[in-house]
Amino acid sequence: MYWNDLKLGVRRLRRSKIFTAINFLGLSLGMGCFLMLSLIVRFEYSFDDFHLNGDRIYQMVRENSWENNTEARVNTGAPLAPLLRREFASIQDTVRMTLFRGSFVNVEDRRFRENKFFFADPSLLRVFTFPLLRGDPDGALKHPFTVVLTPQTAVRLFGDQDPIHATLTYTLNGSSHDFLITGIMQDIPRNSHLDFDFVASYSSLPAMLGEAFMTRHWDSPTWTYVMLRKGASPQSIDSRLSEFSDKFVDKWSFSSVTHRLLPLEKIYFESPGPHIGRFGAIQYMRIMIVIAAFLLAIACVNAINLSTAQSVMRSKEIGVRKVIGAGKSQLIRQFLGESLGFTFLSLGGAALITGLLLPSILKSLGFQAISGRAALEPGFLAVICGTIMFVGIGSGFYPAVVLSSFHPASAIKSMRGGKGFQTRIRKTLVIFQFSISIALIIIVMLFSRQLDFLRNHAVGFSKENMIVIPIRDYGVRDRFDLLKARLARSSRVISVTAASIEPGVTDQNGIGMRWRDKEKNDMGIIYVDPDFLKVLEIPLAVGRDFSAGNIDAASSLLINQTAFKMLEENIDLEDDIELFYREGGKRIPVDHVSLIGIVEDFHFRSMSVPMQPILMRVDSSRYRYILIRISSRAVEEAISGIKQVWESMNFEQPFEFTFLSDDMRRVFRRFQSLAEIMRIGTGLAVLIACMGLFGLAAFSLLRRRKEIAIRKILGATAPGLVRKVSGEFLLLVSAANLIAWPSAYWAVNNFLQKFPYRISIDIGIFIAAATLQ
Amino acid sequence: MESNVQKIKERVMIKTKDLKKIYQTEEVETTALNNINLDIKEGEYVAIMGPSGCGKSTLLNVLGMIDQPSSGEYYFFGEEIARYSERQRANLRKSNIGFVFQSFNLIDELTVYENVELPLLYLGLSSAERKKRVSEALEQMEIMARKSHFPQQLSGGQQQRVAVARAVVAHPKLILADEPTGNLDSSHGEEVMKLMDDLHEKGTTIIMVTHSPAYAEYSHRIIHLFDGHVVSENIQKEFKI
Repeated sequence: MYWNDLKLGVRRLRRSKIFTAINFLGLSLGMGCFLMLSLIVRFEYSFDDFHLNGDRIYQMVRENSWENNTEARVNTGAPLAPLLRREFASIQDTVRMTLFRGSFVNVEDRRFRENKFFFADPSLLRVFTFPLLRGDPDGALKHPFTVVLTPQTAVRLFGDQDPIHATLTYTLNGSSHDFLITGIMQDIPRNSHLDFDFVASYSSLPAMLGEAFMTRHWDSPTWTYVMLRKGASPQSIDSRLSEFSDKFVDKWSFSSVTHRLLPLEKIYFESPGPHIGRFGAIQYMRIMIVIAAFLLAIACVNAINLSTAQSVMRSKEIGVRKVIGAGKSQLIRQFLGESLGFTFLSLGGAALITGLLLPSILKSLGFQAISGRAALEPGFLAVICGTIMFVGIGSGFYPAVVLSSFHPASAIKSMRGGKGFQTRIRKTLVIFQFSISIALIIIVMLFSRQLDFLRNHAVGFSKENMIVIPIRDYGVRDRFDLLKARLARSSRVISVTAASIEPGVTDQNGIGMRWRDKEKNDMGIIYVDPDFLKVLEIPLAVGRDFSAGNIDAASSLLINQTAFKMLEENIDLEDDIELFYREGGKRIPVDHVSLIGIVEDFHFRSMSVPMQPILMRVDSSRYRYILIRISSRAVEEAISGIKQVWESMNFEQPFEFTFLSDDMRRVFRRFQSLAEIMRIGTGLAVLIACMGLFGLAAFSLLRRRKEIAIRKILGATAPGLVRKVSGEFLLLVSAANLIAWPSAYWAVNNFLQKFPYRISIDIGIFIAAATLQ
Repeated sequence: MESNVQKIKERVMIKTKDLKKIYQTEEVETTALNNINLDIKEGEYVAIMGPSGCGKSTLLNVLGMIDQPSSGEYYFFGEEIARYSERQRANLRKSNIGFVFQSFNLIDELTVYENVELPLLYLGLSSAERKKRVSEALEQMEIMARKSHFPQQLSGGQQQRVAVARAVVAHPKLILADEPTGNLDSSHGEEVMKLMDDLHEKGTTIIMVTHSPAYAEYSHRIIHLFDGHVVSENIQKEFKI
């Protein structure tokens, strides 16, 4: 019986090639995209699942509160870990990790710039599952100035040579130290939020950075992890952390500071940053899951519609089968079998699509590389089987029930029963498909518009033809004035400045200010070169610039308009302001400055955050970025000239640069990836839905050929007939708009609320989407 | 011996009492069968005639348990089946009744062999038994040479022979034929009628709808229908075993 059903199914597919092709393509695309997105989502959710102690490991998150604000951060400072071990008996172990990006490593005469040179406590190898291929796990990181490498790093630095017991020189801020290589660790799994090339002993840091780093710097780039004892409850620790923080942690200028535990399994998606390694975006995962589900639903709806539409061709067969003696359940089994078989075949198409497209899609979306072997894991094979069953039964059940319910007497005469109800169902499904497609089109168009708005919106300063050189070596900072003077002589260089931030990209520092018996504890501050405003073309609203007739720039202060409003406009030019910071509960004075001007607001942070108050003063010891405006007409020549000057200065730091506009665009990389996903998903949804509609239209014509022939005999023209047939489908698509528009509006409106700067939603997009359909 | 013959002669296969079939749409009610009272004995050969739209095919559908009467009684071998569910009717039908249609109603995607095998699959017979019976039926209908062909590769007469083979393969007690020669030329029509005659000779009860008085003469009895009523019955030949 099954063999006959299978043979019949295959022959039937071969007979109706066009409809088979439409159905096959639709299901393959729908399933392929679903499986592809499932693979990505599954991988993203698998982060850190390989650690044997994973259920006991937590990252410490610090929460700073001031006035009505709270900010969560995971750089907790080095002093935290020993205090936690001392105060909480249920904490079995702690791991501190520190990372300084953009440091240098020398091996013999070769220099490498490294972004993944970590320092960690030896407990790293006990708490986390990062096995050593070579070296003693207990001793490899015990002593100062020891380091372990990954195999890839070892090959990169040492080639074929055995790196064990060799040394490398690590340079940070102009200060160099030799490290002994004591081990090789296994390559870090792709699904690890921690991603090392080097792990050096944490005990090296006091000698490198001073004891204050270990005991007093509470906001240094140190990440703290804890492992609880077996059976210990994280809630028992969480409930005491507020009291602990109050007692031991330097609040600096915050009104309160507390900590909480973040379980390892949640770090990848929920760690608030600054991130020590890889991090994901959970809202993107949710959107991907929704898009995947939509694509599968649309493909299934296609299959349902095409199957029921084809029922007119099969009514005779069904009538005969019933007459001969087929029961309803036997027919249902036959049709479900056909559906499952066809779905299984489509899986082949889906696998092809996934195999061909996955690598390029992953690359364009900026996701971590996923191994093809992941598709063969038992868990994912279960997803595949589940998908086949869901699609096969889901898309086959309704047609099976419909077809098996045909009245044998009517079916024999191809006058199947239940026509009205089936047609209503089919129309409903078409409206459902197109509602999704239209809504997706609207959402994608609005989202892309918002992205363009953020990227192109006026930022209040000139970012074009601006190159950025990050300062990684104190030597560069110390000799900046000389560098600036030499660069200014370069023919294609228009102007040069420096700052503690990269405008539109990085964050500011914080400081307290006191003026006219008033105090503000946590004001944002950026440290700039006197030509900063001129070079970036930031207008002054009131007062004067640093360099304009101001002899002593170091004792001058500028604020922006938002700061002026925040200070309740209760400040005047030439007011004396005392700058300070808080440490250990004490007020540490920094300097006295005088307000010389108010600048117009400019987006010194990315457009994804609202405008904030900011102070600006000149302090060359704080410069972290050099900003050089070059001529637009000879960019390569300009860069070549700058490089020559740089190299003539013999800095430790090799020449490197980026374009400010590129860096600012990169801030929105995640949004860009999301927009890309949505564009691809929408395109596919529309394609599948249109293919299905084409199939339905073709069937409709087939069924109505007698009617069409009669109309033609009576004088109907071809265009008139086309209008008549297509008009019915246009009505369905129009009805779909009624559902799609409010749904899309609600979704986009919710999403846009996250942005302080956003587009307004206008009717034009909706009309464009409807027209496109 | 005589008493056994008497029993067979008297065994009524089909008995209907005031059988009615009414088709109802939103606007119109059509009475297709109106108080049909019939007795058909096992082994009889009955022809049903009448003008188009008189209810012949409807009667055949009801007798064949493809359709349910709106009211009245229908006894099949003494069992009252008028209110049987579709499942019950299907079970009774597949064991007892074979159908031959005017337009053959073969499944285009199945070969001749597979079409004939289909009723046996629904009966759940073993592979060996199915093979034996299909071969017998194909041999009987002299269509074995075409067993691997598809219906569209056969002539009308050949297709009808396949349909007859399918109808007899399950050894039914009753064959219902709805204008089996309607789509055939005279020579092929004669062929099919001869097949039906042979089946009847072997004891199969046959009820046949036909427009042709010549083909109706093959039967024992002709029942004339008009507007859903039985208007007359003619005995053609004496019914004897």
